[in-house]
Amino acid sequence: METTGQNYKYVEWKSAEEMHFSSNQWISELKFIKDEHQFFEDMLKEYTLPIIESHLLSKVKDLIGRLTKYKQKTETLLNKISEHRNGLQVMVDGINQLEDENRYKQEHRKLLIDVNQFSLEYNDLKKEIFETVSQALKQQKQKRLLN
Amino acid sequence: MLDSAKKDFSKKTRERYLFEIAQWEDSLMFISEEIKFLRKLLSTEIFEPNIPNLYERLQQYSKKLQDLKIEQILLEKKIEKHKTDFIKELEKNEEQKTSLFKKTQFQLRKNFNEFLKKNSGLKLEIFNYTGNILKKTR
Repeated sequence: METTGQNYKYVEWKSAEEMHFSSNQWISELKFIKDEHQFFEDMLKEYTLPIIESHLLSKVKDLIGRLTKYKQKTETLLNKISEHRNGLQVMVDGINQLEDENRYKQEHRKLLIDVNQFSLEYNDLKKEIFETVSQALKQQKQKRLLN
Repeated sequence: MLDSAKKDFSKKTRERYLFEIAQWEDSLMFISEEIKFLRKLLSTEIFEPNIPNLYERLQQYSKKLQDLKIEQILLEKKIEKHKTDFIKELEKNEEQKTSLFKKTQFQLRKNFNEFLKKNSGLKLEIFNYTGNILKKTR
């Protein structure tokens, strides 16, 4: 993803409303990812025969291990964003607290970097899952055709 | 002073829009791969047999994914056109055009978010249904 890493400066111009919208969007994406994790984990753990037969077991074990780590990461990030969202008050209370407002923007910027990095890594993991499962399915199909 | 501020703002807005467009393009490209994978998954024998209406349900989901794929392509085309026009015309910095691009950007942002919502909704539906009927081979 070429777009990451070059746009964090735009946080400076985000309004309180936009930051609130982004936080909500991140929370909803991460909640979705939690469900997705479960599906991938079940798929990799339960549908083992073609994987064993295709000699991809060690690869799959690695993927399951990484998925488990991401589960924890997702939870941590979700908590951070929820806390951040709850702190939005400082931006909308009408009191001029430049230092606090800047700190809030910095926190938002940091979360934007974290979320982008997380998405990048998580999408890479998903791509590996797609490739591995596709490979197992393909080999299973070829085997069936030969028998 | 005012002119330079205006010009600076336009440049920043332009960069910001182009960044957003690039993000949409990346996401749509990834979603396209996901759709391909899910359709493949639905067409293979990885589910418990003898589930009532299994075949019909899988067919329905496959069709919904196909429709989503069409939507994704159409949205991609709209974004591509907007991007081309944007890059080509915005250099001229015409007030009228700028307002049109802002309007289109806003509309595409809305379309993109709606598409994402639809995509997540469908995937969740598929995960909920198929997650419980995966063939257990252990």
